[in-house]
Amino acid sequence: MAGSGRDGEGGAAIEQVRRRVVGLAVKLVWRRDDAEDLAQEAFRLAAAAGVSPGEERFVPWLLRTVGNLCLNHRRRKTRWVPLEWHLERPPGRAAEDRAETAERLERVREAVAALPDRQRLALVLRTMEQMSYEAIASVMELSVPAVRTHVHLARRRLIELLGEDE
Amino acid sequence: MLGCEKTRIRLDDWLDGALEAEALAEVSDHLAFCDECRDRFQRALALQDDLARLGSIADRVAVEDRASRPRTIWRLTRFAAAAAVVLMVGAGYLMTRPVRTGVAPGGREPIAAGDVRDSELIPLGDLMVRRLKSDRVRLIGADDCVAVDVRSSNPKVHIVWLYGQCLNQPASAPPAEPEMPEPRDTRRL
Repeated sequence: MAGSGRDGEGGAAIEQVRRRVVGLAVKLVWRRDDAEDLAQEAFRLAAAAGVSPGEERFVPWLLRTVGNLCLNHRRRKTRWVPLEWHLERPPGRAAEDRAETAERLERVREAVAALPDRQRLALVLRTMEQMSYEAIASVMELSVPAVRTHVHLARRRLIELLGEDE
Repeated sequence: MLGCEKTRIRLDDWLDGALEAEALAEVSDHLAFCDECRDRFQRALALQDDLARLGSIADRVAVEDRASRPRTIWRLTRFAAAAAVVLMVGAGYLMTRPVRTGVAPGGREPIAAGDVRDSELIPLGDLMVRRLKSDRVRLIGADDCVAVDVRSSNPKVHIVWLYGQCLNQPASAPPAEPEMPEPRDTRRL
């Protein structure tokens, strides 16, 4: 972690954390500029709260803070990053497939955004950040069973919502 | 054999790959003959894949170089066409506009002012102004300069007052507050 080694190593570690924080923010607000602003705000709040990079709670604290900032962030779906721009282009796949995939992913993204806040954050941390239930519990300051419940409810809600669309 | 209810309780562990071999076999046995549960599990698995894919896309967005953002020829063409329209409208206006002066907020005389429209990178005198979000701007290439974003009645128009050495003009120069008409198409491309 930063502060334990040379400045270069510490800077690289901080940059790695910053990218992770921005990555989570993008998954919640889907705007690169907004995500960077919110990540920066989380780092500012960490400094103000005296949470330093050398501490074990540093990363969970930042992820929790940026998660809360994102959930409170005004939602502007019309300005979300268009998914089709960022889809891979597998060889041999028709453009129609790509458009269809983008449309399906847009529906999933909107359905996730419509979830209750805790379910949404728990689901994003579990399925998009690929974090363990224990790590999510640390970030959200919840018990592991509570996190499992939020993820379960979120999945069930999404399956129902997306099933209705079909 | 497991019933539907007990099978569905194991859906999360199944998705997480956390089922023991015996439990996995029980779930598989049930799914083999229960169409409804099989359909639900398949939809859950597809959802899981889509969520992971969204996560990958978000990770790419988080680290992408803006210059390498994929642009199709069509989108570039639309951008060029829109830019041409804006330039023509702007040039026509500049030849006929009335020049007004104004007082900058904060009691200081600004050395220049200009409109910053909803665009990524805008030339403003000798500077380039990058709009970050609706209520902020960042100046590129200006060390000794202060920019104040003034809200206008038109949400798509932002007036930026510049103080200091932004344009290498004397501080006493009167401010000019252009009143440019709203462009035909200010949507981001």
